[in-house]
Amino acid sequence: MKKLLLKSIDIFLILASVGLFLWLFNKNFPVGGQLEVKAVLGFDRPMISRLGPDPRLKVEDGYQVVLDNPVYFDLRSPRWFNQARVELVYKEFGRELENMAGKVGADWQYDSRQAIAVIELEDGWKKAIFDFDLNSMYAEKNVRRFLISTKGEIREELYIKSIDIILKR
Amino acid sequence: MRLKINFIKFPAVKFWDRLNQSIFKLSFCIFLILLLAELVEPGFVSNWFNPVWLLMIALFSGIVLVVDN
Repeated sequence: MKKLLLKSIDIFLILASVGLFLWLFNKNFPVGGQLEVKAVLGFDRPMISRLGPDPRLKVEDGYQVVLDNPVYFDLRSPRWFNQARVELVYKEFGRELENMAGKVGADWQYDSRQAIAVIELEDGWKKAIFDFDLNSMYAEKNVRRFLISTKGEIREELYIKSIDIILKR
Repeated sequence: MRLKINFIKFPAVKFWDRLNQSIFKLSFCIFLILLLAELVEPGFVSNWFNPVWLLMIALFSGIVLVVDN
């Protein structure tokens, strides 16, 4: 009886391990061919870092407030994704969103991109969409850096509501 | 009078020891495989799941095994 129970537990543990591998495989190679990554503003996540550097930012009422230019975040994406679509929902309080850039070299080398579309949302919020070719970006252990460039005076602010990234193969 | 002869003597199964061994072997092996996958492709595992939990389970069951024996 004990042996049978132990065998059953062994089989269950092995099946759970296989399930874990399948789950990981499915997460890394999604069926639809694209993966959506959402930033949690003010917090580091395994795939996407919080915005930095700290002196240029603050978190207010759940929004990320940009106080100075530029700010950046890091994305750790699997290498089989070639393209990234960044969707930035923001509101301008004097400070304007200028462009976004991807790091293309070891030093201060960035390739800036204009938004391919800016969509007006409710209450003055806007959504800017940027496309990046991940293969042309500089990666250190699958980590790529993105820069958000803004334009404004010292006390002018830009509120960020969300940063969503859609990775495509 | 009936004689009861036991020709083959099976060793008694120590349930918790055996279970502990299974958990230790499996969690440690899976941890090693995941670690290897993480080294080959950074983020493959740790983007979704922290493999250190498996190492902690393996360590805990390993310590219990050593203490029991």
